[in-house]
Amino acid sequence: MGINTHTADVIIIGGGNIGSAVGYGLVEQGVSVTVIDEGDVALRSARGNFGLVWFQGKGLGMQRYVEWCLEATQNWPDFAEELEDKTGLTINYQKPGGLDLCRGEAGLEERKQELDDLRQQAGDRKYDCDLIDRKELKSIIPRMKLGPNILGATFSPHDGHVNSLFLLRAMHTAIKLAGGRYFPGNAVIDIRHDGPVFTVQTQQDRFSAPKLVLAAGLGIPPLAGMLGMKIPVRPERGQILVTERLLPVLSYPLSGVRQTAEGSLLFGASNEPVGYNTTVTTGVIQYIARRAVEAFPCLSNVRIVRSWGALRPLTPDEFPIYLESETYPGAFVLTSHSGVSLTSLYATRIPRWIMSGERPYGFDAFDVRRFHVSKNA
Amino acid sequence: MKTDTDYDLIIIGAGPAGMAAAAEAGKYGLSVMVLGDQHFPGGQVYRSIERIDPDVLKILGPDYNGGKNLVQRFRETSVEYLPGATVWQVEAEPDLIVSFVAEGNARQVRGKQILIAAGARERPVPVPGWTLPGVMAATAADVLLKSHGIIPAGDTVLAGSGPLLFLTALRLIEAGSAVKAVLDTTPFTNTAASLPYLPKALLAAEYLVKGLSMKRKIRRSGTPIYRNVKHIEADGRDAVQCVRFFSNGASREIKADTLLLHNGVVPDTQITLLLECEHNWYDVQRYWQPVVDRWGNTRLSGVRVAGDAAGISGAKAAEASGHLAALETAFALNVISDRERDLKGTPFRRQIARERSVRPFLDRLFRPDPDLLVPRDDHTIVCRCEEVTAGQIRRALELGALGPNQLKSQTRCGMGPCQGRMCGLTISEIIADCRKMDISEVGCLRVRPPIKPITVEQLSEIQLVN
Amino acid sequence: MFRRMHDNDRGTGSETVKMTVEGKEITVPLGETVAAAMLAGGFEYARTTPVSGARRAPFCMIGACFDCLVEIDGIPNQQACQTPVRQGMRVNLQKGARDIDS
Repeated sequence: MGINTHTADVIIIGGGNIGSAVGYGLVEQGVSVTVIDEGDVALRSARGNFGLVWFQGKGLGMQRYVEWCLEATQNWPDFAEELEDKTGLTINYQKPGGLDLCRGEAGLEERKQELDDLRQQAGDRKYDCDLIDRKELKSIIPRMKLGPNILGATFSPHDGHVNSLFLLRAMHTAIKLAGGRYFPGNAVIDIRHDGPVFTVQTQQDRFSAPKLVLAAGLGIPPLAGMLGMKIPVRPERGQILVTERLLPVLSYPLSGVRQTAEGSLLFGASNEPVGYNTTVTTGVIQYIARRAVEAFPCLSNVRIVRSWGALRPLTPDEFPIYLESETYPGAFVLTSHSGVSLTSLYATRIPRWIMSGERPYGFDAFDVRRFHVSKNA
Repeated sequence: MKTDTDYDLIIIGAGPAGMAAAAEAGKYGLSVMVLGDQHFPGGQVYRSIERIDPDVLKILGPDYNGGKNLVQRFRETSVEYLPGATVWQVEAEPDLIVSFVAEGNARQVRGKQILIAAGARERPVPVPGWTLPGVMAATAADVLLKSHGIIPAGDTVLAGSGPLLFLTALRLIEAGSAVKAVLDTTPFTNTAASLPYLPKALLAAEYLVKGLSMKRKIRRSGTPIYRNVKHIEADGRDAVQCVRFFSNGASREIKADTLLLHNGVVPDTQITLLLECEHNWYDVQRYWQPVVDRWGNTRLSGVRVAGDAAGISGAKAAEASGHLAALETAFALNVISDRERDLKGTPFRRQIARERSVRPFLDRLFRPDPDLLVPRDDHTIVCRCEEVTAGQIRRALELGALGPNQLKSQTRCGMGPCQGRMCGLTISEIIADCRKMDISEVGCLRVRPPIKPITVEQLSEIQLVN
Repeated sequence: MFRRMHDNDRGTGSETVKMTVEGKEITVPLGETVAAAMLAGGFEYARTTPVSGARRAPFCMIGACFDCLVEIDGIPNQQACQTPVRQGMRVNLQKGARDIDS
């Protein structure tokens, strides 16, 4: 029984945000790439996220991550422009800056404290995020009357948002245009290292390449296990609501509310450790709706037309895991939440690391060994 | 113990299956809530029967009139009936909970058992120009006639296939509309394919006789029936002005102010998909139906489906299956024994068998034309809400999407307020056609709440039962 | 293009209401939906889409297609086929996307 063996320079397992961005960056370098993906209803963090390209509020506890996020958001505008030029597709990226509301006195105090902590952690470096009061907030989002509990917000000029579904589509298109290959419906059964190449066996085919990237998000642990690596990733559910289309009323993305280019509002921000369960629950979406109308009472008769639940892939400290296997050089593991925000680096810095060994500085911080796992990596 | 949020049985749908189930459940003293999304009971088939205009009644005939008895029995049963109630969420874990909006207020109720009697809806008929004002589903004309005594005033053309196409045409003719043509898309090969099932269908011969007599009456009124119709296109600037088509190979054009499309009815699966019940693909009539046993049980404990929502079998079978589902509910709640359930169920089983005897024949005779399921013209709008065309869908498929959910994220088709009711089947058909896959492998669009829009305020204020 | 089989009076119950559509006053039998009233009243379409501005009229009349969205008494995007008429109701076409309340 003949099975086709597809060869390439790099095999990427996972066609979500990270896998597609790395694939895009690699084909741009002239590398031949094969992306292996699962079917229509795989766990896809790439499809279920809020679409923020975000800097503020992240990285308390790991300054290297703050710098990684900053670099990502600074590179995003060029990345977006190039991707749109290459594919002729729009991804609706905007970077007007972003807001995170402060609710109540307690919320305000908590945010001030968090801001102080991040500034302290940044040391000499500037931390570009400032507290603005209610009056100033009103002046920059004048159409959205504020509920009484909204005392201000933090604003960062580095924040923005994108249509993450169009982003994924554009990256897939770019890969295809450059001759990269995409194999959906191909769950991986086995991974082996035979001499100079990795051989990946799926339900349908066999693939081989000298370099392998595991970018399968929540699907990474069993795949990594096939190469003797223990990579801890667990799911956390978020639920999101979408409204009917509105005329433009909100020109800045907020961490929990943003208006898409089509005009719909997205409401989000929920975190539940419920395993591999993407069901939408009335209790949580009620909470989200209440938060939205508490912030902006003018939304009360706006209609919600859709919702979804999706899973974030979280590591134990919620910071990324990036590593090249020492036992099997050429095999890379890449996982983080905030895949959308970091896309610009997944498309540039990471492919350079993969092909030319240019490991970004300070990447020890993202090694899996910080979790004291005993297995070899 | 009954509080105003807890019921023994919650019935979603006030058509024949829902009404019959309520009437049956009432006999056993069960506390029942019936949620109907229309403002009066009857579903589509017996729409507005309590207040039907006598002139319209004459046109609708004895089958329609026969529904009066059922509605009366429903009204006489002690149930809590909420007309104009829009269900937006149904949950099965940890309890059976239905969330709905009635009179502007969002409410939640909990049932020990649930019966989904949501009925059928029309199969979408995506032809070029079908979004033009003046082009409507044939059911829409049925609604206007039954509920309001309103009929098309200008030149009217009906197009598609199925018994309801001819029934609607005849009713409009008798009501006084100028029906200029009926365009029958039924493939001529269907006749031969259906003949082996004709003998069994003779058990319910009156349907066959009715069918033939409808066509005869239409022709006798002067309205031509064009056959083997293909390549239907509606054209016009701001509204439909003419219909172009091919019939037996010859190209034709008819002036039309109203074009009514119909290509059969399919189970309304929004709620069963929302609950992630298992569904099978019924290939003869190209639709999804929930997997249920002979009592209407799904694999979800306490959740049943009755009537056309479980598979198209018509109004009388729907009524009988409503009775069976209610008997099973009473048994599940330990109010009757299985012997009593079986005994009482027997006449309804016989009735269903009789009604279903015509189905294999009818389903094959009116098997939809594949060219109407997969629009060939790339410009044809498939997703009406987001205005996504067949061409855009096919281009997106070149990127490798294997199913409708990936496709949805790339093209936005299925993201509008109708949540796939108008486009879902077409999307799956296009994918199956493009990929040369079995449509049962392709799957269908995931359904998420709210299945009908609700306001932010309604969601914020709803009293959760848990 | 639609008409009532009878005039405004119906066989059963001849109560009517007066309402306006796009500023034009019409008399409508009680019990009709806004969509039916608009069709019988000669209004060719209900809305223009927020996607392309195309005109859309009621299509399914049973609440499934969302093409009959209109503004009723100042509240936008309501399904005309699911809303019974009321005395003094003011209906306007839904032109594109709606606004939020100011």
